[in-house]
Amino acid sequence: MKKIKFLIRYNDFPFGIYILLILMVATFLIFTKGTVSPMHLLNIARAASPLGIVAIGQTLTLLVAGLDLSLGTQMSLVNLVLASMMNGNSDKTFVAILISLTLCAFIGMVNGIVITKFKMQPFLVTMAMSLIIQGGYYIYTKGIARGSIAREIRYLSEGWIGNIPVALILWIALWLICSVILKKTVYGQKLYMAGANKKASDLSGFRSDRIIISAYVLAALLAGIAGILLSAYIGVASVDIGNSYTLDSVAASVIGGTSFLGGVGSLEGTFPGVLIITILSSLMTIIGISEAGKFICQGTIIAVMVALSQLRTKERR
Amino acid sequence: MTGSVKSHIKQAFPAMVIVLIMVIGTSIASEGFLTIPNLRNVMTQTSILIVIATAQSFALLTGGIDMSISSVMSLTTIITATFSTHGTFGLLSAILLSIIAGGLIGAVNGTGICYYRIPAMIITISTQVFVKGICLILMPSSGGKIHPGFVRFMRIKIGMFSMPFIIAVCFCIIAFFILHYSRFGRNLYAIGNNELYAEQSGINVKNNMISIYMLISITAVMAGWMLAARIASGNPLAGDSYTMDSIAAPVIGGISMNGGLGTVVGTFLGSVILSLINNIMNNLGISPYFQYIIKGSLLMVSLMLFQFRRKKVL
Repeated sequence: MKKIKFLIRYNDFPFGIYILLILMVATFLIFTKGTVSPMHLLNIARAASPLGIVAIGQTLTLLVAGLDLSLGTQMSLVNLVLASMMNGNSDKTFVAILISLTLCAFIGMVNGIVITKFKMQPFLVTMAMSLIIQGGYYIYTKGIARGSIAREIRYLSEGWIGNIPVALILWIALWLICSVILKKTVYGQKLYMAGANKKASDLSGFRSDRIIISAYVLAALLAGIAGILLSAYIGVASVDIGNSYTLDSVAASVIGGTSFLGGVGSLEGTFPGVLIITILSSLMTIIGISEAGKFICQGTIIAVMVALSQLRTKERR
Repeated sequence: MTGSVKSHIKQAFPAMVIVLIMVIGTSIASEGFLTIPNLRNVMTQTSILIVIATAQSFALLTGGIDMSISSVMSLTTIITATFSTHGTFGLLSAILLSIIAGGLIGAVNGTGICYYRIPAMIITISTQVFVKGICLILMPSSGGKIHPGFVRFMRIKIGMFSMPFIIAVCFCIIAFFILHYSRFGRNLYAIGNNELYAEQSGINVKNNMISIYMLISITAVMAGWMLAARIASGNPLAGDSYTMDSIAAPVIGGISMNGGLGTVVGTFLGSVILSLINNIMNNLGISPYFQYIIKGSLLMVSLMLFQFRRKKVL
């Protein structure tokens, strides 16, 4: 028994969040009075996958003691670029995806370079960046969203392989890859170190600046992929469609136990975090206060979770 | 004027130069700029931003930030629109209720920051989103009515000045004196410079922080009344656009994001710069969408410049 207690206390694996997830699913089943089929739950997972992918990116930036508030606007940008370039045809699919991902990577690089080289607060830089991106796509579209997504891309969200949606497979694949990179590679360990103590990692002989910049680029790329998936989900161009994903991704990471101070947290926590957020917003829709309820949940969750994690770090010290 | 006040005001010097250049340049470039209606218009548009940015400067000077002020403003417009026309004590009850709501939100922010050690940005973003949700439940779309006497009062014009601008300037002057010539202000600067040293030299940091954040929220409530009088109704999203501007104005005006450096004079000038940009772009007929890019870049560039200069000083 003592050994189990020891294991639970000093293991990184976030058991509590999985218990919370099971409780959430149970509440959901009670609220819907058992009318929900497994298919319905899979559909919820399908709708959650853009958030899931962008939350992986947000977790990476949080792990390097940063924050990227421009991820949501990057998703909107990708949506508008894809829709306007494809306009329903599949000829330019490849070029459109390439251009949007390049744009995202570039934005992420600028974020990372400005944050590390000028030593500025990440949230201000990325907030200013999100303003710039927003202005950029307003000018590009002149405020009116035009175009639609090609059928081939829509398969990413609408397709099912057997009984499992393609979007879910994509999400889980990306999640597994990123988890393995974080846990098992030298790069991943460096990322944790750079976030936990930048000075120490500089002194121990690797350039933490580069690691941090790479984290922002990766986050931006993941936001780009999430944007593609979101576009596939809605199928048309829509101004500001991705912006609400910024705070959702922060909330999902924070539920999963990722700390704002850097170096603490894991993608194993982010995965159930995303599902919890999605189930919560489904519940809100059932109750009938989708938009307002979502905001209230986001606010409460972020505040409570961060307070809890701060109290926990205090205890450990 | 003591030496320390001078050194704080020095931070606002670049903003002063920018304002002068902008005013001179635009009055040469476009004829419509230096007319009394246009200038009055600029001042009226700035006034809400001045008040809200002054509130934000208090947060920035402690080394924190307050993102929740935009939602507090929206909530205030809703409360004012719901209660102010009801009965004889309608306006009074609206004022009292919104102050209580604002004070409560500020207290939550302050408590989270001091007692739970949540980073200021995170707790204030949470309260912002939370209050936004409450606003959307209370009033899903804009509506309600503002007390007509109050609206008329806010539209009084005295010469080339309008009522909101006069209020904003008075407010700025009061904030200046509070910051530099009161114990509360000195404590605020001390906390901003170094919280630990402030605590060790006998300042009750926790109590001070909570009262600072309550003051910020109540100031945001005042800005909310001004906004309510301007749009003459309640709106759950009316304050949202002020979050970014309220941070940009102090930063452009030379207030350090690390706390303890800068004055509200800079904030005033920063706000004027932001509204001048709007006005000039409208006068020159540039697409309003460019304003996003220009504001974002301006914020980033001014952050970079000030960060460089600070590094040299330290």
